[in-house]
Amino acid sequence: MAGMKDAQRVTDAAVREVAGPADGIALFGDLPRTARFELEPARRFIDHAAQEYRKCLDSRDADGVPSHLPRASGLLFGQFDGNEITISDIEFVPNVRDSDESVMAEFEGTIAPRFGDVYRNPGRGFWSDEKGVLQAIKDRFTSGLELMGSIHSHPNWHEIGPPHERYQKLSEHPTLMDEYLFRQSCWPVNVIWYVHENSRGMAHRVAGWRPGTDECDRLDIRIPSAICEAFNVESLPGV
Amino acid sequence: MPDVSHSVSKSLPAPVVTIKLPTAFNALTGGQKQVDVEGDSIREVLSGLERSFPGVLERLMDQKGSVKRYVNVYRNDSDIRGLEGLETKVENQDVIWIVPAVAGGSGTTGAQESR
Repeated sequence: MAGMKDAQRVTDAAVREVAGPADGIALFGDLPRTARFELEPARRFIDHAAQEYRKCLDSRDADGVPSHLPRASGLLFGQFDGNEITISDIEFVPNVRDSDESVMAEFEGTIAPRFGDVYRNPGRGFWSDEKGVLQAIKDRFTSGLELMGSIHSHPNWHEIGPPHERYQKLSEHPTLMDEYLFRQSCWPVNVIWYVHENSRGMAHRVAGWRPGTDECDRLDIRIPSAICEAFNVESLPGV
Repeated sequence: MPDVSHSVSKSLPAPVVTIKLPTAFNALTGGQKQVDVEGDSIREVLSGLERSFPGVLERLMDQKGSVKRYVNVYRNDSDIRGLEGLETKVENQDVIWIVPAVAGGSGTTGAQESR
């Protein structure tokens, strides 16, 4: 019983010390600055993102307005060698943004009031099924692969979306809500894959982000050149 | 024969559980991926974790003393939110998984114009 009370005091004291958001510099420390993708996880994600984007384009009505919002996201697994992170596996788990009651409540109660009513639209944002995340971690634990973070797509919705939503310009940069979630969860690798169209057809720009003290800092993302050449991918270097 | 189960149980050492730590906590744990901690409940083992790695609880708990919505704590396969929360009892050789949420998404423009 005494031990329990001690534990309660320790927990309570630690909680009381949390005067502000959990953004102390110690939390972010020396997060790696480079993440290198191996071929297979990059190829699997681009297949998924491209398929979603095409489905979106195919859903356009007579006025050119699509009914399908292209969403692709995945869990990134790899290893850190002390210098850089290598991403060697990807797992796609269900997005429960619009089906898990507690997640929907989080969007309604916290995210929408803070970042705008657009997040009351259940088609906005992703939240990976938490049981699926745990299982994916367990499946790779013995092989030494760790969950390093996530990747998700941003479409050029400001160009192809419904007219009333075109004021929202998206890119490979994090939205304010992205930054909030990246810094809350503190995964070291957060990749945004921007899908758009240019004169050569479907094109991609990729950037990585790591949580920092005040905002997210650029992560140097290395995509295999074979992927960049085959799929019209531009990978932005870190700064 | 007198019932001694209560006094016997009080003299037993606390269970030892293994806490699996996410890479998200590397900066706090020096890259340590798991740690064995004593305690009778999730609250006790998390307090033990805090003693080993000061600052961890700041990542885990909100100002009301609850586990943050953006962090999941599992006893073996079970989310403690579906059990008794921080008061969930643990047993020897239980594995406690700490798994931050994986979430994000498009919606509004961010700070990109300034970068």
